Amino acid sequence: MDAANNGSERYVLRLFVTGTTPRSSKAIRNIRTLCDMHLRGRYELEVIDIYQQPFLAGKEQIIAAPTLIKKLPAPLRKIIGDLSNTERVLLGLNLQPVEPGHEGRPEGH
Amino acid sequence: MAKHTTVELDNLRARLREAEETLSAIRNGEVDSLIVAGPHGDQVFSLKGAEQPYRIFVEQMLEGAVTLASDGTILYCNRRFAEMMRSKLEKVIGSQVKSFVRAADQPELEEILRNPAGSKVRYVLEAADGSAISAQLAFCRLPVDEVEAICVVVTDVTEQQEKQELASALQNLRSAQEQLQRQNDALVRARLDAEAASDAKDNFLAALSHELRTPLTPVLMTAAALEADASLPESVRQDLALLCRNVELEARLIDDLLDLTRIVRGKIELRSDVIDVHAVIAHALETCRRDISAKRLEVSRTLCASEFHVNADAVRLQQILWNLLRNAVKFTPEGGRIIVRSHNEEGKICVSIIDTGIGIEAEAISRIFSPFEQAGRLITQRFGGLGLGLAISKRLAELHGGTVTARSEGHDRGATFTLTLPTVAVPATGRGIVQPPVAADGARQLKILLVEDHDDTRHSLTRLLSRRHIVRDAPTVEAALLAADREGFDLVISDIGLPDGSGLELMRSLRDRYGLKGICLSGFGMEEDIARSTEAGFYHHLTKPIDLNKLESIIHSLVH
Repeated sequence: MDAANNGSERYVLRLFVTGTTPRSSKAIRNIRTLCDMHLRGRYELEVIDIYQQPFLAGKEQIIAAPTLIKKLPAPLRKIIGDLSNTERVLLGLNLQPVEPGHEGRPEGH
Repeated sequence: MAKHTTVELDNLRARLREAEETLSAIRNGEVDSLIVAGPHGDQVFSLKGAEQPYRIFVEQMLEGAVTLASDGTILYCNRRFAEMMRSKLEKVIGSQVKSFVRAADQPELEEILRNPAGSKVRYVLEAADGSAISAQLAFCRLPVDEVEAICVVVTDVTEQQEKQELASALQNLRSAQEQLQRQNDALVRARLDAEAASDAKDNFLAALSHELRTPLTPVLMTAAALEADASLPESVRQDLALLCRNVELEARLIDDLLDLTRIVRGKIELRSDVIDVHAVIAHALETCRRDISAKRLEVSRTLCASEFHVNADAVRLQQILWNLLRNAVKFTPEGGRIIVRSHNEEGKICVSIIDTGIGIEAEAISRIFSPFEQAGRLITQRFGGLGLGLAISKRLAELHGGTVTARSEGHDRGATFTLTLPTVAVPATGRGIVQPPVAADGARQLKILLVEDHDDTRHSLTRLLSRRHIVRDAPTVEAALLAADREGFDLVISDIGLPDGSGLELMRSLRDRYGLKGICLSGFGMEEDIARSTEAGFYHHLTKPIDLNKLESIIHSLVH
């Protein structure tokens, strides 16, 4: 397993959404909040509406939206849904949750 | 080797987890759409609700949105477009877009339908209720599936156009306003010019009347003196009487013209004294006595009014009554009758002068009070005159809060002129009642200083006044002051315009040095001239030509 990355690596993320549905806007809001908290100053986020650019979805082998792709750092990972499960998203992005009591929940069962 | 396998195994595990997550997300309905590879590339299949925001967007937008088939059939339109066309959605969808476009624009529209990309036009659309809507139409291709459709955004520019029209109307209004302002300025200038011209006319009239009256004074006085000379043959005296009458008539015409100008210009100032109207009637009859007896008219008085005092200017009231009476005398044939009546009516006194004269046609009654109007050209030719007397009387009566009215049964059936004035209570002491000037009898001999530069006037006046008084005459201010220094006088009678100064200055000096009283003789009879002479210390202002009887009565009243 990769070690949890809380260092200085650059993140390149792409979020594929379908127009302006509630789920799309929720996904956009969630990833923005998460990036601001964990990746401040070291990420690029592109939001792509598959209605406007369906060919980009095919290129990335997206089969449903919303889908978040972590292009960098490797390995490439895809997270599907509105990204409201922060734990799962952090895990997918290989990030550790921040101090308890903050927005990110502590890992645990 | 083992490490390599472990990494690959981890990757596989991760991908498996991803695939499981994707599947469960799809199963759990956590996605909006699926992307499926097809023969024409990737296609997006929206799940329920994903397209709803676009639909709402198009339905809610303030522009008309229309989808057309290439033949112009409306496949879809939003509510806004249906509203713009004053129609219902179900009526518009399925109809031809050309049905909303004027015939003149249709060829161009067909061309656009063949090649719509990027076309933008402005048409006047015809709505279902017949109203015209200015609209901008923006066309573009709409690639939906295999169907070739055209998308049109329709913007109502009526308001915009109205705004433009409003702006240009506003602009027009502004320039119209500016033009009006310019015209107004021109009018104001014209009015100022006219006022200046009018003032010049007034001054001219005053000067003219002065010039016209000055030579009349010595003529009138000499003729009057000769007429009264019993040593002259009767036939000569009759000629002299004719001379006097005509000179007086001319003087009166000049007075009337001047009066009318003043009344019309509102430049007349009225005194307000308590006046006995019956006394004024008696005096007016007295003034006309000569004409009345010449025509052998029978005059009767029935003065029934018990309230016969009014607030008026004595001279003007006399002028009104004298005008009315003179009018009756003038238009009544020899041997006719004139009745003067008075009675009270609701706080007013009505004085009627009824004659058996030529009467007035009904249609002429309204005109007889207009200046320069008499009841027809024939009347003017037969009786002469300018027709100013009635106009002046009516205006003067109105300035006193009263009226003058005329009534006639028709041609040759006589006429009745009625003066109505509000009456006032008589002051208990009887003080302040102004009596009309009366002829003086038994006046005592006075020493009079006469100052007049017009030689003929000075000589004839000196001669006439010398019959009763001692007269020293002086042609200049200097001579007058010298005379006053040498001997004492009871009275000074002076002209205003003198070669070496003003009669006003002279009067001030004589009043201040010797306490002399004065009578002013002047060709200028304007109100302000009279006011100036009063201010300088003159007790009376007599306008030329001088009526000797009047002068005598003033002399009498001044020294008694």
